[in-house]
Formats: sequence, structure tokens, C-alpha cells
Amino acid sequence: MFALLGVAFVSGAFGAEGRAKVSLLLESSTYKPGASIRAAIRMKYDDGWHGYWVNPGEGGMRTEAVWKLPAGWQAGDLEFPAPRRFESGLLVSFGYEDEVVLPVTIRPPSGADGTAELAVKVTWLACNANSCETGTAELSANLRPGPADAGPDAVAVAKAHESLPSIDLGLKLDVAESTDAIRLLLSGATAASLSGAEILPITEQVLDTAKRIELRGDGSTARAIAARSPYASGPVRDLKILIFGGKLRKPVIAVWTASK
Amino acid sequence: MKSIRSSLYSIIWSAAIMAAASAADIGNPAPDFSATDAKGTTVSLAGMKGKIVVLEWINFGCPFVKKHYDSGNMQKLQKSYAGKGVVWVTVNSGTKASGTYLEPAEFIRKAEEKKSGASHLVIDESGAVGKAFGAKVTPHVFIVDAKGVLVYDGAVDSIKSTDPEDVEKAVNHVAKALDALLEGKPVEKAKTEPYGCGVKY
Repeated sequence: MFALLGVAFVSGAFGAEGRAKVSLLLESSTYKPGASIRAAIRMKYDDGWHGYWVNPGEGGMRTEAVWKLPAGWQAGDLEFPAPRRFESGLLVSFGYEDEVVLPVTIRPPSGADGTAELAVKVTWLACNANSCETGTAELSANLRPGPADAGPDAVAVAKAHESLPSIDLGLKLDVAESTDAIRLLLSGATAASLSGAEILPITEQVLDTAKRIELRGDGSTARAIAARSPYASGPVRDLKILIFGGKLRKPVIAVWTASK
Repeated sequence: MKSIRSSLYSIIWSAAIMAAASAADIGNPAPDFSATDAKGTTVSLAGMKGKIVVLEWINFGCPFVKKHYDSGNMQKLQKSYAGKGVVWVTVNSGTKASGTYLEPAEFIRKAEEKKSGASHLVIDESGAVGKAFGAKVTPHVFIVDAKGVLVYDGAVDSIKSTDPEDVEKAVNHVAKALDALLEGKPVEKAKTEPYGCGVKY
């Protein structure tokens, strides 16, 4: 399955199985030692099939990437754009249909030299209304040292990185827990604009997602009440949430950790 | 011949499945049901009182089910606990249109091919048994104790993946629960998040 395209860079190993075509995208065909390179994994699902978010919800599985890189090179975690909600049978899951581009950042060591081969094994689950299939694809690309050049995928890679939800530092999340409910309070500079926006938990097994969790504005703050996940064990220690929709132009992330 | 037999079976099932409407909760009596299994035997929870009963939801095409059958994990559970008096009921919920439905002969054939050690194969075409228990995915496992109380609801094990190699590394929740019950101890982890393919009601 490895497709080494001689001269340069974009790999074209397409996973035929698993109801998705997968490709490795790079911003440039070159690298500078010590400087991060933006890359991405593009998943194109067959019609009617969908793959999963970092928190897949019930009955899903997140897409994973395992890298094989030259000595000293590092790859960050796959990152995930805001998903959509899928409801099927008794399940609620989160993911993507059609196409999704999952950003990842790769870092060569300061002493890197010569042509570098980046190889990655992507594994995923895709489901439609009736069944699920797993897929695996092994992709690779070569990078040579030199000044940046905009490859054919540069725009797609940049767009995927720039549209990723990020932590909103102007937003403070507080969590209060009672026997059956978890109350979320958002305050800070940007909280007033959150009324009508929706919350999805990035942390698994804390909030019950059977019902949509909507934020209601309350002057300068926004509040939501969620049921406790039936799989939560013990008191909530930390929670990371994605906030999207409503008047928000771009999804944001808020994080809370219990004080010790 | 085959079609006559098949239609006869489906009539029997639609008439016989009459699961209770309440949702299943840990520590409460499990919903009773009465169904005819793929071999034509009547299976009811009331009829199995005094025995520990495992209900396992199945869809042979699901990669998460394949993980536990291809690794031999599910068969090992079925056979080792059958030896200790546990009744294992494998349930296939889903309508004929869902794509996961199996005719009785086909269900038996597939189970034999996988060397299943299940005591009963139940076809829950209407979804009544699955909905009464709240079976969400395949595989999803429920354990009912000898008094008819629901004592476990969740995943087979602790690693949410489709890789058979993870079976050895995972905590087997079902084995732990059954071992505790057989020793007369409470089940420590009574509810876990099941992972798998959605049941197609």
C-alpha cells in the first residue's frame, strides 16, 4: 500500500477499503530544520458513510494516525474540526460525512538534513445507517530541505489549520455538580455572545449527550444544564468542551479543572 | 421448503416476544421477555430463574463483534461460564430492512461457523427485547443474577477498539462480573460504556 512518489511529495495511497479515501496533505514539499510543517490527513467518505470526531460519542471510534518518521522528527496529535451530530437507533455520535481534513503538525529536529520520508498509518471506523467498517491506509511523502514552496495542497492545509477551534482565553468555564445534573457557567469577555450556542463535550464520559446542550444568555454570562453521563465515575475532575453555533463565527474551546 | 419454514418461524416470533416496557436499571429486576430461539425453544427470563443469565447483542458484520469473535474472546467467555452453570443468550435485534437481520437457519449457521458457545440464539425482529434492556450497540452485554436482578450493563471489555490484539491488554468486564457473582460477591463495575456498532431498530 505504500506509494512512494519518486521525486517529490504528495502521496497518493488511497485506502479503497473502509468506505473512505484517505490522503496525506503537506503545506510544502520542503522543510527547514527545526521549523514546524503544517500537514493534514484528508478523509473522503463514500456517500452515506461517516467517520468520527475526537470524542466519537456512542458507537463510534476516532480516526487515529501512527507515524514513522526519521530520527528526531516529531508529529503532534491529529486535530479535529467541529463535528456534526448523528443520531441512529439509541445512539448519539459525533463525526463527519463527505469530507474532513484533520490537521497535524510535524517538526523536524534542528539538525535535520537530506530528504526525509514521512510515513503514516491511518486507521478509522466508518458507519452508515446499517453497518460499520474499519479501514487502514498507509501513506507517505518525501520532504527535501529548502525554502518553502506552496504545494498543490497548501491552501487546503492552511485552511484546515486556521479553522480549527481553539481555546478562548477570554472565556472562563465553571462547573457545579449535583446528584443528577452538571451546571456549566461561562463568564468573561466573550461570554455574552454565547446565548443560543451549543456545547459538545470533548472529554468523554462526563456529560450525557442524549439531548442537545444549549447555552442561555444571562447578561454577561451564559449557562447550560446537562445531565451526568450514565458512564461517569466519581465527581467530575476536568472538562473540555466545544462551543459552536448561535452567534459564534468560529467554534471555541473552554476548559475547566477542579481546584484541589 | 425453506421459505415455508422461514415464514412459520417469523409468525412464531412476532407472537411470542412480549418484553416488558420499562427500561432496565442496575439493581432492579431485569425486564422479563419470552421469545422463541432459532432452534424453536421458548426462552424466557422467568424460565431461567435461579441461573445467572448473560444477554449478548450481536451483528456478525460489525468490526467490534468480529474483534471479540476473531480473537476467540467471546467463545471463551461463553464456554467457560457455561461450564459453571451460566446461561448465555445471544440476541440479534433489528428489522428485516435493517440489513442485520438473520433468518434462523442463517443465524445458526453463522454461530456454528464462529464456534459460538451460546445456549440460545434469539431473533428479536421487533426490537422489543433490545429496547426493553436498552441495548445500544453490538456487542452490548447485560448480566442478570440468579434472582432476576440486572447486575451488569455495558461493554465486553475496557478497550474501545476493533483490534483483536487489544483483547489481551483489556480488563474483561464480563469475566470480572461473572466471577464476582459466582463467588457471591457484588459486581464492582456494574455499568460501563458499551462500544460497538449501533443496533438497527
